[in-house]
Amino acid sequence: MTMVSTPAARTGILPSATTGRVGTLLRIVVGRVMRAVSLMLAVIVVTFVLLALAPGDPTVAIGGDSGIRDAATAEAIRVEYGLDRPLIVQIGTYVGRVLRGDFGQSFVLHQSVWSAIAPRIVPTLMLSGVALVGAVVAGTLLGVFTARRPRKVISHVVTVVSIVGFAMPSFWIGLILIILFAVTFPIFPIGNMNSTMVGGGFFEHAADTLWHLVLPAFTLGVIYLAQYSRLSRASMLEVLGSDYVRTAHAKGLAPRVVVYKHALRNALIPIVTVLGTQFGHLLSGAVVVEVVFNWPGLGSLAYQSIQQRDTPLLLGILLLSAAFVLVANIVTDFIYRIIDPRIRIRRTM
Amino acid sequence: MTDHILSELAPLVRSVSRRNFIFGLGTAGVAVALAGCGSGEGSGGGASDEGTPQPGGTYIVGTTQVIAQANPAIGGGAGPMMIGAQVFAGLVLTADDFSPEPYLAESWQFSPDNRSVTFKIRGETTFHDGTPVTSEDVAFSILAVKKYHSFKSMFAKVTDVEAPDATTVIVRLSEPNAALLACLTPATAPILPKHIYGDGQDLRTHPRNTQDVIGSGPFRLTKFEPRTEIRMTKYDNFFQPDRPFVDEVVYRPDPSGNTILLQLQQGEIHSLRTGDSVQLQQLRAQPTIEVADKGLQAISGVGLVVVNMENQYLKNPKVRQAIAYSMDRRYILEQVLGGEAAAADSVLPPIDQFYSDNVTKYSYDVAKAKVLLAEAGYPNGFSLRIDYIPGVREFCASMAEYMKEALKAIGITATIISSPDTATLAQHISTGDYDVYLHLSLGYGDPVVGVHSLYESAAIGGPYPSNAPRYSSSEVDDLLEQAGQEMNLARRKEIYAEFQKVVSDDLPVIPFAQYRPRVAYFPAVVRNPNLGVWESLSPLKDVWVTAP
Repeated sequence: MTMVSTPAARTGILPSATTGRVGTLLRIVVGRVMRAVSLMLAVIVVTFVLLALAPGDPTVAIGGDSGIRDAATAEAIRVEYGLDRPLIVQIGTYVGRVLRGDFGQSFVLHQSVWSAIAPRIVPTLMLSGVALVGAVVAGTLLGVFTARRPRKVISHVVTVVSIVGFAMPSFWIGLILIILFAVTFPIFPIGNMNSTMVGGGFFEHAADTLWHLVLPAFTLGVIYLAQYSRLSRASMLEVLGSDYVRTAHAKGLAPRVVVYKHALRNALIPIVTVLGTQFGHLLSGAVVVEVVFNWPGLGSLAYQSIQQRDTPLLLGILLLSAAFVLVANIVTDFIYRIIDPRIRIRRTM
Repeated sequence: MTDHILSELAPLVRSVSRRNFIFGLGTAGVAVALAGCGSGEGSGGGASDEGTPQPGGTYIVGTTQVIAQANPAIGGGAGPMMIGAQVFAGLVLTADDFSPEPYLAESWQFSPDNRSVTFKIRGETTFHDGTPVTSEDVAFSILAVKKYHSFKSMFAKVTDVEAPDATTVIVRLSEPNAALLACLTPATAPILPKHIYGDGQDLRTHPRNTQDVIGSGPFRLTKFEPRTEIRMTKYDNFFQPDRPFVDEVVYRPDPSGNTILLQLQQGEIHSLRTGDSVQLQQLRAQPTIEVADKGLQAISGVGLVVVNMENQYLKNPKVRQAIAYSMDRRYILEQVLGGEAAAADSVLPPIDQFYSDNVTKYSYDVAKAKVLLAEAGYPNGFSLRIDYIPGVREFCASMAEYMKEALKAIGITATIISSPDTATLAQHISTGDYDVYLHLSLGYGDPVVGVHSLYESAAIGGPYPSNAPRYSSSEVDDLLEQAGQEMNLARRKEIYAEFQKVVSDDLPVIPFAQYRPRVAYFPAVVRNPNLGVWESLSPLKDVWVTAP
């Protein structure tokens, strides 16, 4: 590549600054990715060892179909699946396979782990995503609303409801909602993602899915909602008391503009931080709700694989969730640097 | 083979029970209790078969099982049997009185020495891909089941299966087998298409066990997603005219079972089978649900305390009798088993066709038990271990706890050992490294299949749970051999009665209750549900629904 000599280049101001920033950024990216890879390796080793230490015999899961009962057959299965080899060898083999993109075979379903997991990702993302987005929007607005009227009764009511919502176990909320809105007033279905007798059209199918989504998404959302409304209230109260907000009021700006344009923007930073962390848990955060509503996602699959001792499947789900958390953390970190210049300056200095 | 409960048919109820065990009242229990529109009235048994059958509609079966594959020829328990009985035909079906009735076979004839049976199968019958069903397919299937199925005793005596012409099948036996016809149902010996499964691949891992499964039964498998939905559509060329009635059968798995009772209550599913007393009581309390108290004999049995007869204390018959006297049957039935189980003093359940009441009974008598222990030389008792796996909760875990207390009352100190799964328990049992353990003994349609090997001395040391008590009695060996070969039903019943009496005297096992799952269904929609010996492990060709 030919270097073009410009006045700026000659003075050495622009390019060196840009190169420096890109270099730093690159170094940070590479560093974070390396750290994520080593973390993933640690996750594999730890989960593998923990699952190996769990009581029970995996040959039951493998041989379930053919009714394995005698020691010789069980031993043959152990040899076939490499379960007779030392743990360290098993881990090494597994890591090697994972690096090649092979998560192994499900003991119970006799299909590849990936083909068991893949159809479960979208339902889980749909459930967690709808719950999270709904909760963030509603929670933030509720927080702002109560922060503006901290001493009013309605504010206290919202606070109490939030705390109660946060404190209630999700399976309990789920069951109460099922009893109320699926049994006593049968507006929504009890569980599953689709009806047994739904028509073949896309829109009919989508509408049916949405109808099934309401209760589980609401159940999951209630927990998130409580968190966000509390967080945004606290953050908003702090910001509303700051000098620049007072200045904005003094300038004669409309209260709505001050709150939503000046204050909320700064108050959002902790919310984005928490959102980033929770975004990483989109794949793994809905186990209980999925189990209660028989939602065909990764959470219920994980639960079943534990019950059935389907170790490769469980490992696959855990690794996918861990990878998602790590990627989400890296992405959040960079988004964070973009929206808050102070962080960028502090960290690159 | 003896009772395959824990690895075979146990999934039928185990997952439901385990779910209750884990979630306790926290989930389904609370859900139904809170839904609480129960009247508290029990529902009577029996099918609602009034009215003219109405063709069409969808029958939805709820299950807590994850059914891994659809070919029952390789075993795998109740799940594959349920699906297989719809997709595949069998030579015979089992009538309510346990007698075989023609299905794919039109007729059959035993040779005078009962060492061969000639079947005439229906002509003009086709598999779902249009290929005719021939005697070659039947011969292939019986030999495949003999080779791959874990119920080895079903066809152990079959030496060959011949197909002299397209509709004739001759089964050759090394000696008479009174249980042969009972083993030829679609759930136990499905007729497989040889042109698909006879391609040389190992049947246990054959890809067509889960995808594009072809049989000649009343329903074609159209969707097989074990954890979400299994869907079957009526086969238009099914060999029985005007059957099946429903257009579709759908299995909806709910492996956690949290809301499965509510789904039935609301009619989102139409039927459900469970053996858990808590669930049964909740179901009985719902006015929209009918609990049927009939049928299911093939998948019922007895709960047993199995005794290791090689144990230094337990080999003494007086000690075994003392343990039997220490058990308060009424308390067990009412409290431990939740009031849903019937009493059983024999090793066969009262609902079995071969059940005999003429057995030695051990009524609750702690004083007598203590005297017997003293006479045996253990006035101060001793220590022993009680093994179980958390399968059917009440019959295993709860009974283990009860036994510990019952034994304590007569001076025996017991330690409970819970194994996480069958393989772990099997290691203790088959090596004789146990003292007593809780066991469910199921019949599977005939004692030859489910019961014999628990008591045959030749089965000692065989795969779990073959002769787990390590019981050796030449009298019992003779009786079982005779019963297995006796073709006269009345005489066979006499032999089994004698067997039950001898075992009740020798006490290698102590029966405590009948184990019997029930079918609950949604009567507003369901008519004529399968309530026979095999329940929904037989073809759902006669059930019909009133809703689309």
